[in-house]
Amino acid sequence: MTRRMSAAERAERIMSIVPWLVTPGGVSISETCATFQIEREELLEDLRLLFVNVGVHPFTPDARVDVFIEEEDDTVEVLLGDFFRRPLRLDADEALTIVAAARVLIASGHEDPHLLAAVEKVERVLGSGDRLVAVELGAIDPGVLAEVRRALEDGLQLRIRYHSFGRDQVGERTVEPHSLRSRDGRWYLTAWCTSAEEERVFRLDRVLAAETLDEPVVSDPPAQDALFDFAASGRSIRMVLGPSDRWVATQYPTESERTLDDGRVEVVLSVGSTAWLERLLLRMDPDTVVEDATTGLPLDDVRRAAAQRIIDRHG
Amino acid sequence: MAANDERSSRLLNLVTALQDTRRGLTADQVRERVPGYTASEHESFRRTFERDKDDLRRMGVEIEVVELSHLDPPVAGYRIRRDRYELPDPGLEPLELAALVAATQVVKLIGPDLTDPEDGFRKLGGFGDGEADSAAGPVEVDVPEVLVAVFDAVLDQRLLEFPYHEVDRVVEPLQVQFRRGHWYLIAHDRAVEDQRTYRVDRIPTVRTGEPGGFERAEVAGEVRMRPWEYGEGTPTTVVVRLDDVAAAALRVDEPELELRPVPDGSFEVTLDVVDERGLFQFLVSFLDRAELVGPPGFRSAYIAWLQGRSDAPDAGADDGGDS
Repeated sequence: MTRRMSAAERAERIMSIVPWLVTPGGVSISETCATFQIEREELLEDLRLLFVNVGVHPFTPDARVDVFIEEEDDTVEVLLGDFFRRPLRLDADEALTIVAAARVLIASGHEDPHLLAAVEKVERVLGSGDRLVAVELGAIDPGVLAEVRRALEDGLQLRIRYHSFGRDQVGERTVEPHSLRSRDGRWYLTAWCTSAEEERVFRLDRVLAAETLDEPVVSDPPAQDALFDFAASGRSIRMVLGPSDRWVATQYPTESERTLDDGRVEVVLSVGSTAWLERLLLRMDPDTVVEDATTGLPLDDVRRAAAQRIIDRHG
Repeated sequence: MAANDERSSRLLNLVTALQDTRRGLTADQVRERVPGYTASEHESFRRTFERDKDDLRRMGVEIEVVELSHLDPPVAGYRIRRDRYELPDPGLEPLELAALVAATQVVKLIGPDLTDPEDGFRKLGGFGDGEADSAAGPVEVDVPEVLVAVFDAVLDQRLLEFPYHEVDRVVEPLQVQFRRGHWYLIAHDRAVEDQRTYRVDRIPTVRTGEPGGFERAEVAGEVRMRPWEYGEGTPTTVVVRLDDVAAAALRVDEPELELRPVPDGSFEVTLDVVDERGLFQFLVSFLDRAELVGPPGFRSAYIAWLQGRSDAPDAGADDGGDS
């Protein structure tokens, strides 16, 4: 808490903490500091400000907030009349951050009875019998997730059967797991791939099977996040989206986005792989012009070839 | 007194003064009774008062404006109804607080308008006591621009108005859901008089009504989320055949669907389809690993839809894309 607070933030902090100090006989200063993660001097300054400056008209002694600080006994007692009896409601962003974090963690398989009890209590004081935030993460095989976690904890290699969605191929590989993270409901495993001999990111929902091996992990983890790059192919496409294709811009991270005079949106996207591009083009309006951002060549052939392959399958 | 201390004190005194009145205080009375305003000129008092009101609103303290009809002529009065902005004690144990704090350290919401939940924890009773279990690894969740405003409306039962698929909606927001990487709003749509699901990232802007604008209803059962289930109408039973790889992917995404093995090593699944276009868009995600087996009408419609994508642009039937 070294950042300098604005006056409003400080007033909010005071209104948040003070109600918890209104206990007959007072509360311990050091325990309060620990509970609220505030420096002793900050707390005392807040209380002095309250004592010296705050009250109600006409500011006679009985109309002021009384604060008794007993530094030797490490206690503070606040007598308030009635003014700061309870903290303020949670703001929407505070409530969302806390409740959603708890619900997401619970949904990801984190079993902690304290967390479940806590989030239910918070939802109750937010005034709802129903859940305010319901969460369902991208489904993954719980057996795979557990196996990957075990390998990570024990520092052991993993054999995985992986569906490379981009290339649309399935293969077995042995990997040295380095880290696991979740982004927007999907889990990603960063690992050294011994077959490819490079660090790779694997989507856990595409790991069809995982088995921990007895071999230890020997490679070093990569520099933080250096690999966590969704668009590694280096190829980009440019397209102009009409109303029926507007979803493309919200669904994929764009490199650039520009609204044209006629309301259409020009976007540049990096391409994951050919199969990725095929799926995207098939779902879009076939009349939308899509071109290679570097060469300017239209990519209709990619869409046509993919559509023809599916038609052939229905042959 | 330092300027900052003065401003913090003024805000605190404004809160106590506006609580200490049942009927409401006129602006003149506020100026008289709150130290910090007293010395200021009329114009600068007005400006400062407005700014302070905004700051308090951001903190969650709503200042009510009432008409003081006992005065002649009636003037605006200001007051704070304490019961409206107080947070009841949730009664969290130190271990429970610590579990919540740990959750916000593991799960990061990323988006505009989101601040550190520090102040939230102070209001709830502190940061608790206990060690966080950090084995979970970071979990990141992107938050669309309007989600905080939408959630605020859920909390305060404010009516929401927004354009969605080019239609203006007026809804009673009930719950937000984070499913498979997307945020959804569950709300009672006043025009259709039924609960509907909206993708929050497709809501460009919202207008919110006053708190307590409706009675909160229960969230109706499971929401239909699959792309081929949207819309109205009688579902058609469609059979799709998938190879083992596509079947494995579908099993992960839709664990409730039953995949029946067929002799050639592939799998069949039966889908109840309302939205044909939604089904087609879903099927192409499997490319040629999926085949629409029947009924024949759907199969030929799918092939025709694909032909619209395989023909040269001028020759193709224009049936458009869809979201």
